[in-house]
Amino acid sequence: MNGNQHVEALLPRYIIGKLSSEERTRVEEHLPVCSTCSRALTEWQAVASAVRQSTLARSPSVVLPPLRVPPAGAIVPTSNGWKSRWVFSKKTLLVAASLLVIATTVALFALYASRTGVVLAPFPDLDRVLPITQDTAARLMPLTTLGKGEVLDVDWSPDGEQIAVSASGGLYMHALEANTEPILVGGQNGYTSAAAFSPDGEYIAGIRNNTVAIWRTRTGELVQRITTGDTAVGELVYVDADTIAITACPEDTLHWSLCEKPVLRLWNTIRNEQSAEFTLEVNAQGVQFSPDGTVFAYRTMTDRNVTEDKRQIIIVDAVTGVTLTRVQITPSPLFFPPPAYAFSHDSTRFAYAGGGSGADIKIYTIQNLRDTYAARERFGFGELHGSASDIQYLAFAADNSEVFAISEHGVTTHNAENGIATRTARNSFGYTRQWAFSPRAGSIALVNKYGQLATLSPEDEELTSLYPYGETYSDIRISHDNHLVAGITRSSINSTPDRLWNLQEFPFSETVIASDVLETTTTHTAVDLSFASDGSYAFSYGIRDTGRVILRNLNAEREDIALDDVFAYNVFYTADGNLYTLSEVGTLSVWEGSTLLRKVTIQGLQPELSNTVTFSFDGRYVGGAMCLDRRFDRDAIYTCTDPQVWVWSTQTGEKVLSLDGDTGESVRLAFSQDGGILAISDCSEIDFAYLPINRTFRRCTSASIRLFNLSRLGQVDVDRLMQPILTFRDFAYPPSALAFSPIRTGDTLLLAVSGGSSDLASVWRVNIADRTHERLYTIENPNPTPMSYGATIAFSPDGRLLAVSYVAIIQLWGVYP
Amino acid sequence: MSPPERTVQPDETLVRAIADGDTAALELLYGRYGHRLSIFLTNLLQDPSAAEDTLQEVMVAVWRQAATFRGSGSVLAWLLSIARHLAINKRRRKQLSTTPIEALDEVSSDADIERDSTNQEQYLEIMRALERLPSAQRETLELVFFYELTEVEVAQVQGIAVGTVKSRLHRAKYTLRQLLSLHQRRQESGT
Repeated sequence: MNGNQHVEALLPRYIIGKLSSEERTRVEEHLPVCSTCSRALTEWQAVASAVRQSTLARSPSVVLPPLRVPPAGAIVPTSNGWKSRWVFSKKTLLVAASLLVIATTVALFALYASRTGVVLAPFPDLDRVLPITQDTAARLMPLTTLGKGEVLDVDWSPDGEQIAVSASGGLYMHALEANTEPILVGGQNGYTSAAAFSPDGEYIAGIRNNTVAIWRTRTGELVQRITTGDTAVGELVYVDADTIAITACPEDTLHWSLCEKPVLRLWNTIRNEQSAEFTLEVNAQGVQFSPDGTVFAYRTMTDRNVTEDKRQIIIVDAVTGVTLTRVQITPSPLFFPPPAYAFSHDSTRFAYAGGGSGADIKIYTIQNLRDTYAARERFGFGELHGSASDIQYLAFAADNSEVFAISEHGVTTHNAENGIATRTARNSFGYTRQWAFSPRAGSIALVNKYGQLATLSPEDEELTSLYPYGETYSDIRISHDNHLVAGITRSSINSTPDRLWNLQEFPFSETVIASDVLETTTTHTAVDLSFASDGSYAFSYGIRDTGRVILRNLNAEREDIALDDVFAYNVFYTADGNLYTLSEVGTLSVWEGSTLLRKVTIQGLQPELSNTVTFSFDGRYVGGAMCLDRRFDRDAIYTCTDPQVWVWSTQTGEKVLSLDGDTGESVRLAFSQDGGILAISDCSEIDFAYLPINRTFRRCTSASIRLFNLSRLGQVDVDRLMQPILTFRDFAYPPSALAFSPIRTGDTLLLAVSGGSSDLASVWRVNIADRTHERLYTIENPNPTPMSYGATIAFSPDGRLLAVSYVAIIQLWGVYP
Repeated sequence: MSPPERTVQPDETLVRAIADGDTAALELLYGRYGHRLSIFLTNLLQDPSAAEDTLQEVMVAVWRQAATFRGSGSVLAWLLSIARHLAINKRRRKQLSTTPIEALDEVSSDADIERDSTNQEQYLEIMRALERLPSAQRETLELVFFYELTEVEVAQVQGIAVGTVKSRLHRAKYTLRQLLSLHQRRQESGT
């Protein structure tokens, strides 16, 4: 069939897959016998690849603006009257409008795809941004996003060549072979709480804003959006090529993040409609389907909020809805990971372990469960390494002959017939946060306790680390020239990577602070960082004896200076260029360069045990919010019975101000630029909420920000309770961070507040003379939840940038002319 | 198990639904192709803000004209032809200061290449080579390899004969080969 006729004219369509089957056969028969045409194919392929890359690279933005469409139900479109109507919800609209603003105003457009298809954050034109003042704050807009976020879920592509990671910054795709930067699926950032490949690998699904989005894996094109109308959509798995299963919390059944009546919905993705619904137990988690889709298993939450008799693994027939069995999980007085379980790849067996169940891995045959609704065949695997309850995950090997048990010590492989442990890959990666096993790749993708995505084969001894994801930042620092931004974590001083971005480089360079002065990048990373006005910065890292403070200057290419034998829990540059370092026992050292000027003990300050420690800009004061006495009740619910906020003089180390808390606890402090005003975020009244599962939950019923005037310090008795000059109670929870703008206009100050409600942040005008306050701007939360979570906020030293973080993402906001 | 390509709700079905006033279908079509249309318009107009406006106009046109879609080519080709038409109109109206597409047909001087010695040279070189193609050829290449249109569909979008599309493709490949081999020679000789 025309095997000798040249096919060059067909090659462009051959490359894009648009030939008829006859044409395709003709091309494929001809190419091996014709060097001219095969050379032409190579050339066309090179051209095609270059065109794709350059077209993407030339596109200034892949942020799709919101669609203005006619109101639903409109039959006859008209040109007037609907342009201002939007199909999207108001909240989506606001977020989308913000994205639109990015797309239209940022001078150097940033979302561009490089050779590897990496989508980068917008490049902000920092020279153009205006000072943020009470007059301009209403025009704040997002400038750029730093970081990819914290990993929330991982999944392998069925061919074992890609790993999808859903993170607070978006859905990312890692190509294992290429070892390149991960690709942002769909080109849009967005809190994505689950990731699942379709069984054929053609599609990747994620949950964003309680909506399931399905993208074509190859192109990142959004092909389907599924909205179930539920208040919360939790987990997502593919059951077959066209069906996904989601756990959801229907309207009005969500209480304080606990779902009273959760359901599992089977949803046909083609018809976009529900095909089945199952009622689940309260707090259902960890849904897994057997590969043939006929059985699913889940567990109830195992923490102390669930009564002991409710801690179960439940196995359900997905066809009839009949519960096949309930496995009681033995409660443990100590922390233990949730139970691990897995179906075999041939859907005949179900294995479980852990969750305080003892040393065994137990295996049921599905047929037995169906026949008797009870387990007949079960056997123990005997004592495993480590504690009995530390198995976190289980998986069957591709041929079902072995079971892999993953714990914080490594991966142990067991014979699936007799349970004998055949080998152990011991690793010190610590507990695993998320994981997925690929039978095709024979490898486990996991996120270790340092937030790194890694792969581990059961035969390996070492993790292959692919990519470091982030942690929740508790502080943000911005250099005086707005070139560097640092994200500081404080949740665990010896494990979490702190990051530094250089905004002068495009794409932004991102480094783990202190990684170059440490033997490993995973432990003992930076504890605190402070920028000096001359472009240098100081950072502290390590713990106590192994800790150091390093002075570094990027611009002058000066050698690092290490302050010997100094570990600092806090480092702080004052405006006059002196560095304050504060040890964990409250020893304050003041340095000029590497010369120690003086040392003073801050009476009664232990930074490590304080909620927060904050210096005033001029370094005159240091404030700490502490709890001097804490109690745990029978249910281990924590109450601080003696909350205090103290302010000390850094000159004398003496306490200059003491503020009793009420029943609650202060969370954050902020000094105004001139040191005259102190703001405190706190919870002034605590109550116990009752959950549907008969457990109590500690909550703050009266959160506030209190402002104190420090200008009379020294004139009043320090132990006298000072009255705040202004209290505002516009918050549902204590705001997690506060920051005064360095720009002050007379009696008017600008206060940025992080959290405190379902909003991400807000900016307030505060007048200390007439004691008024007014909300000027609200930054919407990209993932609104009923519970507040840790976030932080900071102004740049020149007051032109506002940095807001949420779950390992830092967003820079500013005002363009 | 279903075949890998989804057959339900194909583009044509969506267009029919849009013709019936289904805004959800319009939204879905926008989700499917908005990104590519946005890239196409931005590259064409060299003005992101104008491109965004035009993208909305395209969707307005789709909303109004959905009933007129005849299905002679793909929906994407139809969308791109609307987008191209509106973009050209917009450019004429606004008299944008950027160089018109037709005027770019001359190949720019080699001086642009001489300056390139950064670590991204290869990537930039490919991009520059493409930039230096006559714009009509480059657009044809993009329509085929980026938007994955057949020659017939490209002809529909650009409003030219299929034969012209084919000759543009081959001329483009020939020019690119010259430019890239020139770059390769320079790389090898270390200049």
